Amino acid sequence: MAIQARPPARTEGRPTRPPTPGERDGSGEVAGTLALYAAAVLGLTAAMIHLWVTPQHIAEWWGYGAFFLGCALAQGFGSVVLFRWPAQPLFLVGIAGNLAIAVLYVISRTWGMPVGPGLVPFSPSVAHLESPDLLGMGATAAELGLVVILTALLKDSYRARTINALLLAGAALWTLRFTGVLP
Amino acid sequence: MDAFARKISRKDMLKLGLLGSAALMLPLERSARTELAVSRRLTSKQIPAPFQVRLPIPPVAQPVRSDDVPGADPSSGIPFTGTDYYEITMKAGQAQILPGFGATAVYGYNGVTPGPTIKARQGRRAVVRQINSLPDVARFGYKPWTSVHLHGSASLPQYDGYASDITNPGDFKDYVYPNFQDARTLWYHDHGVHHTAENAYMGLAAQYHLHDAIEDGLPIPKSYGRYDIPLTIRDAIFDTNGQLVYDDGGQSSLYGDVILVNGAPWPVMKVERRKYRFRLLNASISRSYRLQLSTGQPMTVIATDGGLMPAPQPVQNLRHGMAERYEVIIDFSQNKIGDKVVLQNLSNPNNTNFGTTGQVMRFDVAGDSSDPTDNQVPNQLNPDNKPMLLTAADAVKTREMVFKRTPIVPGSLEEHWTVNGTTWDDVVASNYRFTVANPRLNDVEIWELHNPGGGWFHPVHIHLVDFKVLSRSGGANRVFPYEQGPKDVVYVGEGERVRVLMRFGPQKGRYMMHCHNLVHEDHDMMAQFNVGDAYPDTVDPNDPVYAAQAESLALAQTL
Repeated sequence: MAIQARPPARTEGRPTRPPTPGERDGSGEVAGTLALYAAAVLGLTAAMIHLWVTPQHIAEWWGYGAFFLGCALAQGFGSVVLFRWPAQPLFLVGIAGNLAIAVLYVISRTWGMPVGPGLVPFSPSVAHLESPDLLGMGATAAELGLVVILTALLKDSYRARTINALLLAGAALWTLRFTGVLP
Repeated sequence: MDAFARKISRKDMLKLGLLGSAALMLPLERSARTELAVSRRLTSKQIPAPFQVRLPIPPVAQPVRSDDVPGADPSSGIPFTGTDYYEITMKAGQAQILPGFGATAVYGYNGVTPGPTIKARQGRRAVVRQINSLPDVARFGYKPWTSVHLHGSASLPQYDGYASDITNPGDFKDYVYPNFQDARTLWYHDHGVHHTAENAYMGLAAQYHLHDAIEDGLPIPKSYGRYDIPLTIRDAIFDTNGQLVYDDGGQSSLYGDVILVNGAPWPVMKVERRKYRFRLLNASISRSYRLQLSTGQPMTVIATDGGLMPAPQPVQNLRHGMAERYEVIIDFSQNKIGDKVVLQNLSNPNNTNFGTTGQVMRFDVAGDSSDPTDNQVPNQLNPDNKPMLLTAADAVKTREMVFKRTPIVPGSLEEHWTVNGTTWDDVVASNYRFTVANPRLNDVEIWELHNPGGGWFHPVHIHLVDFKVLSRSGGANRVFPYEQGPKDVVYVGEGERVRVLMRFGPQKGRYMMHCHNLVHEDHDMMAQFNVGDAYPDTVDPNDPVYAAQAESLALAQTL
């Protein structure tokens, strides 16, 4: 009796489509996990920097200290949660939150502190213009890296819109600079 | 989780790059611009330690000639008994300021800063020829025209240092000062349009003391340089070569980390165990002070901008805005020989403070009193001071003046400093006709000076007049005891509305009003008001720009 070749395996009920590079060799799953690791590391880095500078800012004003402590806690816990339970809504929250902190840093280093002791909130105070420093720039770079990674982890429709929103944010900052609003 | 198959494309990276570059580059770029402007700025470690140098006392200017020819002020008719003529040259000089560093290039009246003190008597005019011998291009890269303002004097408009009444390098102008007002501490400083801050910062400032019979009759400390001491306080930034650096934070304010008194950094003055009278002048470009003695002993304020107060006011500390003058008595008789009393600066909101700006100078108690005369603070000083006798019921009108930042043009994101939304450029564009107020001669008015901003304070100066501070709402929310004297500058703090009461006169014509943060003034927080008749179509005999223009020195010397 002739032995017939086993017919090729078929996946029933699933439409066929060209395989993506990740699926073909499984590296996409690895890359995704690595991306989450990287995001968590960057988030924890930013958190530790903020925690490190909290005491000196409390000495300046309790409000500054509370802000930095809050950032540290949010970024620290957020990094853990993100890694443990990665989900689209969390990615979006992480992008928005870290972007807000980074933009606030830019404002404080170009326009002045928006709130502080002796200031009416959100009145420009160039007298309180802070200088950029290694820790601050390090935290900002970590936050931006985190935003990029989280953006990459978004689903297509969310990702495109998020990238465009981030583009607008960047364009807005440069426009404010060139029009002199940000000195 | 789902397989990580999503990539960021090159196009996406470019889009994200715009944000990333903004976030990382803008702070660095801002800092770099600031650093370029203050390149090689002295670090806090390089700044000399305080209390190394002795307090210098500015020289007294000597008139080149005097006469006793009587006359009368042409506008007010107030008589004078004679005239003292001075000649002062505004020129570059070298000053040894920082110990351990080379000389600092400065501009000064007669090449020194602070310039020579002019001492005048009530009833005798002073005519001061100011010669502009500054270089054609100033150190900070502009043409250093000048206009000299005698701050505190009711001069005629053409001699008041009107901002646009400029004297270019190589020219001169004769300023006529009537000296009919009560005894007071005035100061003369540059007021050249758009470059007042830079010229004053380079050193064009000096005190001017007017004396009268009331002051002579009081047993308060006298003797210039011995017990009657001028203290011209200001801050500055230096580079590693000991040269002045000008950084106004992008037309915002200039805050230095070196405090100078009479041109010396944190100086020391030896004092005797007796009372001294200090004529405190805040000549900083943008910094206000809150002065206090380290021992906690009080200072007694006896005079404000417009002269002696009705009664002395003891204070623990006093808020001192730019251009304000306070004469204070400090009694060192309660100190022991060997005591060191530091004049401290507790600062105020919206100053940029450094580790070095908490101290101003030090008094070392060196011995017992060697002269017991004029060593008192009487209970009454000048109770008949006319501005202080005015009441709100005397006012015929109330006007509001708002000091704020507004867009350069409607809809613009770029802003400048304004008074009621207007600037000095509006005055210039109107051929110096545009005014924000037009009080009649001798009218009494209340002006409400309003600072709605929260990020800065405005010491507001009204030329010509002495006013009484009626009230302050918002911010500090009160008139301080040491402000209860005749004033011509009032501190309008964050969110404050200050009401001042004044009689407009005795001169007529156009005068300036502005914030005395000189950076704000230059960009462009200055307006003008007209007292009395306006001359819209005819020649104003006291036109502030055209009635007494500067002349060419070279031409004058050939004639």
